[in-house]
Amino acid sequence: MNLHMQYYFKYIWIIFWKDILVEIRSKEIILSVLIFSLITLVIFNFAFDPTPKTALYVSPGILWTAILFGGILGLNRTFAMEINDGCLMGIIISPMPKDALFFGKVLSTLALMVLVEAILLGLIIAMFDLNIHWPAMLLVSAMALIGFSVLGTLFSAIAAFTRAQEVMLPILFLPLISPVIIGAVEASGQIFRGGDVSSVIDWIGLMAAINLLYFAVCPFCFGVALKE
Amino acid sequence: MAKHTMQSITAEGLSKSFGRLKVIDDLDLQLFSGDIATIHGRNGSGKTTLLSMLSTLTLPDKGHLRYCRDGLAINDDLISRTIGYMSHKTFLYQSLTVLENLEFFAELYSIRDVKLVIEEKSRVLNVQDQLHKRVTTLSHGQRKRISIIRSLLHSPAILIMDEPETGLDQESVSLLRNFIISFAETGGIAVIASHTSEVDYGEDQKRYHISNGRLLKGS
Repeated sequence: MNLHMQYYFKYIWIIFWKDILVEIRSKEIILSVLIFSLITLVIFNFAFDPTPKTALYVSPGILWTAILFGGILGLNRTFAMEINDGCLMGIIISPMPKDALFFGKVLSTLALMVLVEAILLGLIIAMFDLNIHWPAMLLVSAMALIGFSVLGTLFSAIAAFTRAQEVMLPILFLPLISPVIIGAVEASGQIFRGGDVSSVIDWIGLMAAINLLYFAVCPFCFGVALKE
Repeated sequence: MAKHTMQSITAEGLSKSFGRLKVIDDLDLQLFSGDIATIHGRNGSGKTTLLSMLSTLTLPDKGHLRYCRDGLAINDDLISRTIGYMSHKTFLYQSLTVLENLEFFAELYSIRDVKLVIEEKSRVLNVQDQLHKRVTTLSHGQRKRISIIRSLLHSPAILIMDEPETGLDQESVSLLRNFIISFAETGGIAVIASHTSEVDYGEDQKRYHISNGRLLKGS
């Protein structure tokens, strides 16, 4: 690895670690996301009152709806904390490559979402007594959360510069993340009903292709958004 | 900062509008190593926009901005390492300690011996005893001092400060004044915006007045 790449990864790490440190101190994002997601989970559970058989069909939807809407709550704060005291300006005028800032933010959002999903998935499995194929579930979760974090970070940055930030983010983000979430719901459903990696490989492939598109487009759009 | 390099900033025909409002209008400015430019003007006269353009945060609609070292234009990476910018906003994370904030910004500039540099810069405004406090527990004046230290971390050759004396006590204003004078004496360029003209930066000071986006040389 050349020196330039070493610095690039170092910058990503600096942003990631700063975000984690801010979150450990403030607990602002994790608490709001977790509480919102858990309440969504409980409400859906009462609304559907699933039997062991119907649980296999409704629980994937419950899981990913809770993750999606809880995650949006977190995304709203991702760049808001950078803008409040002008910290983003301090980062922009530094020599750090702007896409390193993007990937650092993606990484910290991903870490948060992994934690949220681990808790929610654990609860769903306990609540509905599910027996799942873990490698398949890990692959599906990784694909969905990576897509969520990459696209979410871009729109979190764009929305942070608009006046109606909290309204703007879901309007921009939800239509474009839908293919990934639909893939995650369908694949999780098959895994909850006893499927393994081979039974969800098509969905994983679809999510991987969409993620590649996000990776190609989002860092570029992020640079443009920062300039504007 | 290298002591024997000649720095310069040249702004030619800078203009900036926000919607229909023209904030900076065909502005020219040339500064060299050793200059302390103080820009005075009323609220809304265009001081902050001008400083934001000089710091490269805001792009002008028209005109050119050139940064040179020893007569040669420098690239974007070098420009960002050359400029130290202190804005109205503190650029500090409230939930982190002062030291954590300073370490974070020092690492963005790949500064070696971060702890040593922070210790050295903290002495400029006597903030050594505040390093382990969280930003949220500091007063407005204390945050301002930390914000000034943050802008000095990478030893910039050009200092751009937006009303640095606002909120500071007399002792801090005096410490800052002395620092800026010695900074200019060692070849730095300081651009300081203020709505008052109380602080005197000695014989190297170039006074400017900004009004309706136009810059006038003062006495």
